[in-house]
Amino acid sequence: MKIKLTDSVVRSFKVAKIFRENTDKINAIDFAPNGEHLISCSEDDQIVIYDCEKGTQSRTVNSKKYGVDLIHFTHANNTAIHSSTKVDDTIRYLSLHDNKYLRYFPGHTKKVISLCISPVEDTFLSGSLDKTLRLWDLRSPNCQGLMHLSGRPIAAYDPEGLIFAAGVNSESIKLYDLRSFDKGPFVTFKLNQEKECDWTGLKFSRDGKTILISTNGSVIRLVDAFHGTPLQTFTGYPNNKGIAIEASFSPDSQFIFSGSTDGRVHIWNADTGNKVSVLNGDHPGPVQCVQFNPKYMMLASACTNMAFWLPTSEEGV
Amino acid sequence: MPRIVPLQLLKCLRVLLDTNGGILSATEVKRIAGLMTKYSKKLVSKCVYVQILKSTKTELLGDFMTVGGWALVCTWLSDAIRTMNWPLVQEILELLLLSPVDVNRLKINSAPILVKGLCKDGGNEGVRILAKRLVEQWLKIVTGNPNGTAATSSPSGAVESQSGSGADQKDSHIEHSSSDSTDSGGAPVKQNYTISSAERKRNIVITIKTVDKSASSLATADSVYNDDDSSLPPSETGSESRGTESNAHLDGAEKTNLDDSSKNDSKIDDEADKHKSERDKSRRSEKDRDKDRKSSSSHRSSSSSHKSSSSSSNSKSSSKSSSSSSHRSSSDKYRDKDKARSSSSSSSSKDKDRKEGSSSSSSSNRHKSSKSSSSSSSSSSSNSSTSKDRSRDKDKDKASSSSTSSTATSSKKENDKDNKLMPPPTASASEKKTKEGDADVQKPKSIPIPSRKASISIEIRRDTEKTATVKTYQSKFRSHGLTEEAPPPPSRKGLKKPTSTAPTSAVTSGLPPATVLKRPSPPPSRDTPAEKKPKIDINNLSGHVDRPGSVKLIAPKKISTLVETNLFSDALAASIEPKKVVKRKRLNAAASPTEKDAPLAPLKFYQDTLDESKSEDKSDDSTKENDDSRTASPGKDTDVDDDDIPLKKVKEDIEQKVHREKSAGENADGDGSADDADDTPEEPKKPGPGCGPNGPPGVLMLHRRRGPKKKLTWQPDEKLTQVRYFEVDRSERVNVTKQSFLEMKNMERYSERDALNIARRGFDDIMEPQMEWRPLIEVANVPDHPNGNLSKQRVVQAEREATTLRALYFSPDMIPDSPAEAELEPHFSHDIPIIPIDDLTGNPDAVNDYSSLPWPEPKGYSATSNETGYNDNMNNMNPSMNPNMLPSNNPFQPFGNNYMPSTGNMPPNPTSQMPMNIPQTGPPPIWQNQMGSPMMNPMNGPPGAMDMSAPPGMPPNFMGNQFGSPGGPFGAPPGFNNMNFPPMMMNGPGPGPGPGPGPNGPIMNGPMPNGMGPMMNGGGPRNNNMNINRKNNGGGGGAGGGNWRSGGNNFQENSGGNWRSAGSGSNRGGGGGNNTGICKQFMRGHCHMGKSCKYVHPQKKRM
Repeated sequence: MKIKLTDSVVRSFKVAKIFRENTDKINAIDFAPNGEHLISCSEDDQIVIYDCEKGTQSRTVNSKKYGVDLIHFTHANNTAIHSSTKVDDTIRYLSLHDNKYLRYFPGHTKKVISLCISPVEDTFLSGSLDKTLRLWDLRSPNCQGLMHLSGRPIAAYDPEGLIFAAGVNSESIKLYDLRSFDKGPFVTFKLNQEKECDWTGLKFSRDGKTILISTNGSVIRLVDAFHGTPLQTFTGYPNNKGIAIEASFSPDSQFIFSGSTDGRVHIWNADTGNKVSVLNGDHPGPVQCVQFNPKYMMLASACTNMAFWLPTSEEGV
Repeated sequence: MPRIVPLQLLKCLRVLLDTNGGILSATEVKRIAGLMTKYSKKLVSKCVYVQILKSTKTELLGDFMTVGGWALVCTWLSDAIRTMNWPLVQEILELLLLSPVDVNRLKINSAPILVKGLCKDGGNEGVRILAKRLVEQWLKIVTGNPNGTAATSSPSGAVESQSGSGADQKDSHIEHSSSDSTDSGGAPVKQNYTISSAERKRNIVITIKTVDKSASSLATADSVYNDDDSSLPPSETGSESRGTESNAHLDGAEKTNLDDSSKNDSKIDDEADKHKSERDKSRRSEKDRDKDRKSSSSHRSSSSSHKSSSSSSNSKSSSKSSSSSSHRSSSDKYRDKDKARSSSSSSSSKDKDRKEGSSSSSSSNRHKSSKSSSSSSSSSSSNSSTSKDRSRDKDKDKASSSSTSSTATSSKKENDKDNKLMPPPTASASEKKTKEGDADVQKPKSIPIPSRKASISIEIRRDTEKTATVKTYQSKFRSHGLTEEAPPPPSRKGLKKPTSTAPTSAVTSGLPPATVLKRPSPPPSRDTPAEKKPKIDINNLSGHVDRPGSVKLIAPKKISTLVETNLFSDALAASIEPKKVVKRKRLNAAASPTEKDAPLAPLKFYQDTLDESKSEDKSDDSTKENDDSRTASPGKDTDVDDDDIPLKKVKEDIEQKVHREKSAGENADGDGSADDADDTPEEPKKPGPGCGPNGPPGVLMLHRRRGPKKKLTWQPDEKLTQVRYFEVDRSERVNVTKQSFLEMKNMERYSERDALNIARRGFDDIMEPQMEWRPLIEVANVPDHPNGNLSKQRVVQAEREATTLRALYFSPDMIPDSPAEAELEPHFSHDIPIIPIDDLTGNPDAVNDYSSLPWPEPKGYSATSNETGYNDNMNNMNPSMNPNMLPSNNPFQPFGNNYMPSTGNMPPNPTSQMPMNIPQTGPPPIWQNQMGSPMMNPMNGPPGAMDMSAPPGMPPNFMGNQFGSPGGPFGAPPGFNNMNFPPMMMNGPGPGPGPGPGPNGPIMNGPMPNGMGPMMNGGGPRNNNMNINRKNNGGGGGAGGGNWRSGGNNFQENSGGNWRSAGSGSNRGGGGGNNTGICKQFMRGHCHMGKSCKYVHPQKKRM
């Protein structure tokens, strides 16, 4: 049984589970592609895995040695890659099954601010404050590709895993074909440069038609994925701390979700750009991470607490 | 218990006994008492003990009684009565007669009751009589107590009244007992008893005669006496006479020396000495008496010797013998009297007979004496002659208030007072009296008493109680007159009264008042000073000096208690000495003790005044010890309260003391040094050395000495440091310091973490689940996710997991801080493929440049279609405005050109309510068209409304309607520039009716003229912007501001500048991509910074 996600459904989301596993803010969360698990990492160096079907916390791993800032599931069950905050900026490939690092991907010299993995294969991208973007393959610690940029790099895979986008300097998006990235971007979107903030994240919609640009300000941009035309600007959520607030698509690409520093979840209609709703989950702190389950009607938001949201309305049934 | 052999027992006790068989000293009293209480169950031991006690000095006996002997004796008595052992009862009764008693003691147990019972139920005559005597004696004590001394002294006084030799009786008793004890156990005593009784009878006869001769009143007693002799004490006397005669002689010889000295004094003082020949006799008689008195044996020995004609003493004349006999007789008489008192009238008749007999048998001398006595005591004799009771009364009266009593006794007392301690003289006097005349007789009578007095006085000193001492003193005087035993407390009381009476009697007797005065004065001085002196001395040393005589007397008492120092004592002694000499002459015993005491006393004073601290006590103790050691016997004597103190010892002690005093007085320094030497070992601090022999210098010296003494010195280290060990009781308390550093650290860490949590989560983490967890529902219309279908690592991992144990953590604590490290992999240096930033092919189509295209404006809520549309319009309006402003000078043409690839799109707009509405949902091209379109004219009207609608709280419809209506007309005015001005107009009224806060009005007004001016100049748009911004600021609700800010690039920036970081230069400069560096504020119409603004104020451009 599937439910169509509508405004009313979106508005009916309420907090169903709260996890206070972490003592510090949660830096990143990532759903497994099958939507059954959620992995989170926190400033307190804990990596917590939740079982989304049960709504429980299923596993916790510490990474106090290297710290953890960004984390992503990889395709294998119980494996993840994460960026480090300590020792060095190496990306680490972690097997949660036996709590063991499988591989290190050294190369960045500054903090990794963007990390994404190919939805199809074992490659992943990482952008760093060292103004480089690196392409990796889980099978090798060696960097598979290196891009030098003039500014802060962000990157994202398209849902098909055929191309990846690199956001550069908060003013342009370059699309590369993974098969021929060494020939340069096949298209570049030059956009009106952000003056008030920086781009902090790129996300392709599941349908691959749009690209969502999240910033560390109180604005979210939506850009046509094929032409690069600016589609929408989503504002109206406070971000008075200049933190990178994640914005996410709903799996059907209809809605845009974003956290805010007021502890609420703001929802826009991606098509119209209108705000659909502001969900109040009483987050005590800034909601920095918001993601919709890639498969199920479930929303996850995190400040220091992890909240699972479920729709109370099933109109669309 | 094994059979007890009395001799062995005595041998065992020998250590504790003195030569008389009595208790050696006060220190032995307790031991003896303990022994007696423990081992007195057998008859033999009881008898031995009783004899020992009977031979014990009265003082010691008193001590013994206080220590517990009273109860012990009582038990003995009760046991004896129970076993019907009348001889033993008799012995015990005699012991009780001898023992000092006071009311309290009588109350302690049932002894008085027993004794009273014996008066009626006594197994034999002796016991009954003894018991009656006891009862009478005690009755007097009890009844006399209220009167004070009288009652207590009454027993002795009664005895005394009978004859001056009343004391002798006691002595004789004691002596008897002692002799018995020394001689052998009970059995031999009995044998002796019979024999002695026989002898006694003989003696008695003789004595009776003498008694009759000596005093007519005594005659009555004699008959009784005979009876008594037959039954009771005579046995003892007999034994004594046998065993102790030789000893007594020796003792007497020894004592004679002392007696001589005393005799000399007495001679000087006494008027009786007028007859020199008599004096010699008296001396001799005194010697004899002394012998008799001091050693009980001597008395009887003498008596026996007289009787047996084997007189150990050298009686030069028959008078002596007669005197001695008279003494004996007197003693006998006393007994007789006592018995007589209790005895019935029949005894009185006997007495009368005896009197007759005695008178007939008495010699001329005796007759004289008797006559004298009779004459002197004629009144008394008349009284007494009538009945024994009267005689008793007389005695009592004498004791209590002698004024009524016979003049003879009073005179005797007076003499005694004069002589104080002069038993020998009294004896001699009595002899003389007997020989010569009444006066002489009186004197001798008095003489024996004084000797006793001396002893008594010593006792009192030991008592150290003021009252006690006073009493004793008086008691001595009385004793002089009475010459009988004086149990310490009673004797004192009795004595006191007698003293008072004494002077009166003296007056009556016509004796020289001076002597009388002297006597009384010393006693008070001794008594009161003794205690008072220390106080006085402490306060004023001069006070002591003032009363030399009294001081002297006082000093001795003090001495008795405190022994050491020299200075003052020396001074006192010096001053005292002359008097002492007199005293010595008068009373050897009394003077000597005083002297002895005197040096010691001053020492005390010094100590008291000088040393307040323990040192004094120590010194006192030491001094006491020294005194005791030196003058052990006298001290003991004094301690022992009343009764007889062996004159020998007393004399010896006195002599020693006198010698010391003399030496001290003569060589004060020497004494001081000596004393110091003595003291120094004990207390170096109290040096006598500095003190001169004289009092005052001594005082000064003492002060000097004090100085060094008072030096402040630290206590020895041992005393300065006190170490106490405490055991730690964990439960006792929680020691704050017990928290270890780690604990504190953890506490700190926890508190810090809590604080951090609060800071991070906010103080109110009220986050609560709002619904239950439900099974997840799939989202429809979700494109398939490739899900890493090409991932090869997934397979690898699957294989790994198949062969690798899962890490399981059952508790958070088990989770390692870090995952296991990855295996080290060879890192091959290789060329990293470079990902080019730009299209290497250079295909221009590859770049879509929207850099000049502003971002789409954010949109408001899309609650309803209409609202959303309206809002969208409104929202869109602002951005549309911005482009207009930026190129302020040049109307939209450039815009249009730049952005308008498809200007043709404009037409569709009109569909919406507002003419200028542009489909917000439209694709970018449309948007661009909008921007580029010059349509702004119609558009401009609404901006005001748009502003108003900005606050999210406002219902969009309402807003739209409100402003829409006015918008129209405003937008209409044609005369103005199409675009900018109308909005101005719109803004003006808009705020008024609208919900916009007050500030809007003024803001609007301000810009209005500006806008008007610039209108022509093209500044209108700026004003417009200004207004809009201001509105945002003024009416800025939270969300509303957000909308505004987020509207359009330029707008947002502008708003951001005003809204968030108002006045920050960066924001200002950020305006419009094209116009970086231009002051946005200025562009809006007014820059507060004026020319100082660091951004460009493009005046020219405006035009």
